[in-house]
Amino acid sequence: MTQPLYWIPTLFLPEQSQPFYDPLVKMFLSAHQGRGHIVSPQPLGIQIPSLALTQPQSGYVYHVNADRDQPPVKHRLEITDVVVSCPTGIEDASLARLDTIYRLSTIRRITLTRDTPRHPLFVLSQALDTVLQSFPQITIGIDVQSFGWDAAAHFAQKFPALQLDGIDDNQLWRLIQLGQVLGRPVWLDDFSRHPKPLPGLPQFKVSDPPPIDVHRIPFSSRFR
Amino acid sequence: MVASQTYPLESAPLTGVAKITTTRHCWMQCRFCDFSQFIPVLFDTKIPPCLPLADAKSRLATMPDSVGLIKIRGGLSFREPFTYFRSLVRTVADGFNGPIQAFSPIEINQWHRVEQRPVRELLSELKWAGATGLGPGGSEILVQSWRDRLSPHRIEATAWTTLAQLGWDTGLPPSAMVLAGQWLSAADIKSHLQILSAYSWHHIEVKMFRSVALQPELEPMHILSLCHLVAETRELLNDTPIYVNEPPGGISHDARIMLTQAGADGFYTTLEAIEP
Repeated sequence: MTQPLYWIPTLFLPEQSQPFYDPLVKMFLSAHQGRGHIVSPQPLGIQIPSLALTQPQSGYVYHVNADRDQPPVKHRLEITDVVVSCPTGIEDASLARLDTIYRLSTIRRITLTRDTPRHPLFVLSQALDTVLQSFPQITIGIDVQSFGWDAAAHFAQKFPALQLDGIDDNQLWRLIQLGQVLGRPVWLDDFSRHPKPLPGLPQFKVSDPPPIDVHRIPFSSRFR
Repeated sequence: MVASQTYPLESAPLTGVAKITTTRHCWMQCRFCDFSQFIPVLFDTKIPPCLPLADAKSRLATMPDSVGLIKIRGGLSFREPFTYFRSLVRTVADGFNGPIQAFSPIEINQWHRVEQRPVRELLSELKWAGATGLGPGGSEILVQSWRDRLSPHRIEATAWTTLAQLGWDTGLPPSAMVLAGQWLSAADIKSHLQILSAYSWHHIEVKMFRSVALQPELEPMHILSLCHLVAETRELLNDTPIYVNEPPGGISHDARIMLTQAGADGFYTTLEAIEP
């Protein structure tokens, strides 16, 4: 069985408009068959399958952007989802940040972003190889928006353990197309562990040429 | 450091192309073509005139310096004689020093049939006018079942390749094309490449198919399949340069690196389109 590609639709709730969090989340989940990951600044009033907070709080998963946020280094954190720029060498600052969080908490998922679009593929390839070998028990994903779809497709083919993150609803067809090219199924998922397979893109057959009727002139159907 | 050795540090060189279209009028009606305009040839048909020579001359004067290749296409007009196309090539060659790919076996066949002139004579006149090679044509799929389905009015694959090979005798090296559509199966691509490998070509172009309106079955090829296609072409035609013909808008730098890694020797990107 080939390893599936997982699509995790993610809703980032804004800092403002807090009274509308619950209806927003309900609408988002109902649009994705009850599945979907919510990243919120504060706990919600309703029970949802998959939630992470942008602030550290006990009992909740902490979604930390290691390049932007400064995680508190005093006390031990709970489970974390880390977004960090892809470390491309031993002296990379993002590697130190990742290491700090790794020592402080249990990392559930690492999402790697690409700093510049012209960052060479061979550097990224080595970096991904190193990260995948260093954290075999952690789900590693790449942010498709910053990597670009061409590089993402290349790395998804090269490293089957890699997941593709940051895919919007309007880009889902690209993931399904990639799954069809790689021969891997695509599953709708979040962190509640109830994945659901997604159907493939419709396939259309190129029609056969029209038969030639030799009892009518002209023979070619184009002129009738 | 094993991984870095397999990736090229830079992508293969990018060549800017200026495409000169003599006429949009075409009677072939290939299904994948949304560029040509079909006008049935009847008694009182008004066929629009081709690109005036003066227009071509003035547009060429303002062309950017980064253009490294000129492609001339669209010779399927019954209105202008062959001498018009010959003069156009002459006009272009006067204002441009680089290579000029003038027309393809399809157009040579048209002039041969319409004007009843020997093919070698037509080719040597194009050569005299300043052409440096024969183009690969719009989209030749040399598999006969696909020709029947998509472009039934093109000349057959054997006729096309024979006409193209005559270019070697007159000093117009021919080039061929692999059309990269997702609808082509691995077997189709293999048989197309086998036909190509039986002849010799100046270079092979891999044309990235772009989607055609209202025809969802003709979808463009995914970048991974395209890399596989380029690698397969490189394997079968191992001493022929392969150029990837980019769609309008170009492709990403990553895609160029991936295609270079697969075996592409260069990229053609359209900088200027001169049309009537």
